Amino acid sequence: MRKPFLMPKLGLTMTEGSIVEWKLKPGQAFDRGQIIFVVETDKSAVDIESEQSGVVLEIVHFPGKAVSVGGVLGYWDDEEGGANSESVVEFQLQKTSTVPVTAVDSVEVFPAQHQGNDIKRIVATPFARRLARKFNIDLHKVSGTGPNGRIKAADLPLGPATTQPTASQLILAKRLVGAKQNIPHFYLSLEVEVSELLALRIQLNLDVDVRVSVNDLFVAAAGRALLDCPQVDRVWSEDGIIRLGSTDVGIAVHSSQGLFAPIVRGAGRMTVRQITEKTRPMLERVRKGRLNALEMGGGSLTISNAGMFDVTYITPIINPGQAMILGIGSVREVFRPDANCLPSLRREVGVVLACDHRILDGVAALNFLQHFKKRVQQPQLLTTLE
Amino acid sequence: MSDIESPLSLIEFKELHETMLLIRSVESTLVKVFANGEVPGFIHLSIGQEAVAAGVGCAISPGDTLATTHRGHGHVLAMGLDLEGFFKEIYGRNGGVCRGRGGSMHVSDMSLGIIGANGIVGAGIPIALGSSLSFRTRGTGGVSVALFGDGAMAEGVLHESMNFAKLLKLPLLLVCENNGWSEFSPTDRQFSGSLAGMSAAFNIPHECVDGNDVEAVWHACKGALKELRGGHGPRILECMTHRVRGHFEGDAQKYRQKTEQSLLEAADPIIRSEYRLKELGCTEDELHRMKIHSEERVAAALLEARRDAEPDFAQAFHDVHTPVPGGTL
Amino acid sequence: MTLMAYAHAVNLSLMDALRADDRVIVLGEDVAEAGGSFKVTRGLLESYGATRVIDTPISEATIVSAAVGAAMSGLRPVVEIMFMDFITLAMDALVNQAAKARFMFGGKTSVPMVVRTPHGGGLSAGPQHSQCLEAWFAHVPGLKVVCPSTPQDAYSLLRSAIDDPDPVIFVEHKGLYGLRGDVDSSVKVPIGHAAVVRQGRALTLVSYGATVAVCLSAAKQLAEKNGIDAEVIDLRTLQPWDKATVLASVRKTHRVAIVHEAVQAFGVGAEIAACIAEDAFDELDAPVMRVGAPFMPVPFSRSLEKQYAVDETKVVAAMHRLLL
Repeated sequence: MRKPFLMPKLGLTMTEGSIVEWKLKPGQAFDRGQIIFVVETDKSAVDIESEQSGVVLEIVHFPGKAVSVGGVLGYWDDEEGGANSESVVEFQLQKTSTVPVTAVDSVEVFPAQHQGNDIKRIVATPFARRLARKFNIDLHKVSGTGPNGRIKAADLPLGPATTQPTASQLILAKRLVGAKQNIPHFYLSLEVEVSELLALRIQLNLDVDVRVSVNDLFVAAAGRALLDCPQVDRVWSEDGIIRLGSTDVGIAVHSSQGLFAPIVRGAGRMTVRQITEKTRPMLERVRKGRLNALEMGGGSLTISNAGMFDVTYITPIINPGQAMILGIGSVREVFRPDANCLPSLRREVGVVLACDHRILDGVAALNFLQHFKKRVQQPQLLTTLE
Repeated sequence: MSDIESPLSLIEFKELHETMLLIRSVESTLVKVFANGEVPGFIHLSIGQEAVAAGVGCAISPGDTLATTHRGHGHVLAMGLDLEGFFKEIYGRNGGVCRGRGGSMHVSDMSLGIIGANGIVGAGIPIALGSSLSFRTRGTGGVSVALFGDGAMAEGVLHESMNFAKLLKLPLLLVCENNGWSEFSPTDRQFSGSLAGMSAAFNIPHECVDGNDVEAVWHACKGALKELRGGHGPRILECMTHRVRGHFEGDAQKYRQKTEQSLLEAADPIIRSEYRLKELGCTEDELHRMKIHSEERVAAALLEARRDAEPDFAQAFHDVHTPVPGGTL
Repeated sequence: MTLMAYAHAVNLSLMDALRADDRVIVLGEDVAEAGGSFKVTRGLLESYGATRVIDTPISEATIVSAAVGAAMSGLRPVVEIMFMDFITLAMDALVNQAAKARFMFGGKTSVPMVVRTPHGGGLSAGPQHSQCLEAWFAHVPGLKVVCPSTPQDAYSLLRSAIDDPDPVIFVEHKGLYGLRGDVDSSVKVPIGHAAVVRQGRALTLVSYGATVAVCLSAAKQLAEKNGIDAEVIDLRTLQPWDKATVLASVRKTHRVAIVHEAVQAFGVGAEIAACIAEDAFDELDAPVMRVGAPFMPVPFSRSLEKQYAVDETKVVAAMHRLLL
């Protein structure tokens, strides 16, 4: 029976190839496993061997001619008689190549049923196809995880329309809602000059292994400010207003696990370097989700430093159980009039102090904020204990 | 012979005769138009059996029901089926009594008490039984008549129905038109028993009558119906007759002897009826006029049928289910 | 609202129908004196008398045909075929007579009859007493086919069937006769309406009769073990089936399997699957599946019948395949 040799599909994205070389001439017989021709794609050259024995009848396309996948290259006879058919025989691929082969996503032997024009057949569910059309996704670029590599809707790069919150998301949501509902927030904001702070940092980090961060300096400043203003180091509780006096300062940390606020205990009575030494391993543990109970909870104040982003002010939400949260924006270079009314370059951060109005009034809060500002602007004092 | 309460009046006899003439005219016309290729499908003609149709059809009362067979043209015409509607149905046209849905084998009209003409041999028998059951349940005094041929004698439903009707004493009249042929086989090669024997087995009164004598058929039927209305249970009337044409039109009847033909002519119920009417004082002229009249009626109806519209396909869907007000169908 | 067994619900429905309409009659083998071989017609004879509750001889062909004739002559007969397997004897009456009378007599008559018959296995009743043949009748234009899965639906759908002007095959399940459930006789369930008996988003199971409960168990299992929520639809009517409800569910879940006790090959599921493939092709994220019995007569031996049956394990496996 006369049968065609067809251009095989050698890669997911292959649309055409060309014959590099015919190994046989018309009239020559071949055995099972014998290489008939070599096909070149844009990636490699591949020997094509036959799964059956037969005789080459005719060559239709000669080397160099580009032929579409599935196109007829020539004809052969399987010497089994019977009516001539256009049915395709599967060819075994032999990956001996003359050119380095780059990985092909899948080598698809030309399917046994050859019908119609659509040779480049992607296996995808009707629903996946519909979504792909709707969202202009090229199915050639999607790999399917269904049976037979079938592309299903879930394989498409589409976010689900709705996702269910994780347990930690739900807990966080509850806490934040609680904070907003139960704590009467009021806000004060200042611009704080940080040139001295930044200069000090550079100095402190000369020749050290563990570098002091800007945030460590802010923690130190906040701790000292709490020491300066013990009357704000208090929290509201069911039993009454509790005076802490511990100068604990929390640090708001975003990790892949969620939002955490580990506490630096007694930050007001630590040098900045001590703070650095304390916080580094703590932050490591936060990253790994391994904070211990002692490191969480307590304190009257958390710092939420958004300086690494480009933001002027952040107005954060007080951590339930605390009385204040200090939002710090990014460093901005601004010009301000000096004593002679001449423009003078400053480096400033926008600071917003959110306070629990049940405990603090405006005067006390402002007082604390001024002390924090003073501490930031006299950073040298943070390096020693008073 | 059953008791005759009142003899057949001349008017009634003429009515029977006219009925037979109409049937004969219709069936003869169908022979011709079928041969012309005008009629789709199969038709099964009852030429020679007119006396049974007329005798039974005219004897039953309004409110009674009748189930007939694939060879039922005579029966339904005797019941008063609209002639034009009949021809239109044969031709499969929209104005047909079944709106072209059924054809020759299913010509009927429920409003006249015809509860169907059936293409399944014997199937009308249990349906008529059901109808008689409804009369008993509702106490209307109505009777149901099932007409069947001798070919149905071997059908299980006949035996089951005889049993069931007898057990419940239903007002069911089983009328067998015995023409000696079950399709293409003589009945004696199809049925080892006899209707009389079967009737005896179920204790059902059986009467045999000359099916080509319309008077006799009418009287026998009248008598049986009276008994039935009295609540005495089912009865069987076997009418011996002759089928002139083949099982269906186109059947060359090679299986029948040529000698049978002359016997058929001698037994023609219409000729016999004419003879009797003349005895009772009818003139040749009158009889001739009656014949012409039925032929004219048939010709007119045929004309209407030939020019009637084809039925609408979409409309046909409406007859699969009964529309339910506010329903999904 | 009363808690009662499925068989009792059918009984109550017949009682109420006989009372409401004196055209209703009940007939069948051993339905009157004996109250039915499954006791479903118990008490009807005593309440309504022998004219309306009739014991027939063992003549399925004739008694169903008689129902046709009686229905055409003004009654509303409810005829019982003791086991659905015996309906084969009444095929002419149902297919050639009841189904076609309205149509072939030009739409001028109707056949308001009901054939009640129990199908199904699981009771070691053997090959000729356990079959589910409803697909045959769903295939005949002119017949309606109904298959309730709960006592409430049995009550309400039988009333609807008796009120229907056309022939209705009312299929009960002999294994469900003891199933208890609440029945409110004022609830009306129209023919042709399915019920979504479990809401879900992950996949749809379409079923009827005894396998509805199997689907619900399978859905519960998958919800508890895998957090997957399946939607379960009880068709309730097979002909005409509620295509709109099924397609709406497929549009929501994109995965569907049709589950029935009857043989899978050429069954009710095959038609539904084909319609879904045709009318909801672009919604499908998995091939349409069917779960039905293998192509084998119902075997007698308990162990064989157990393996033959469509159970929770088979439905769960199908659900997993849908999610591949």
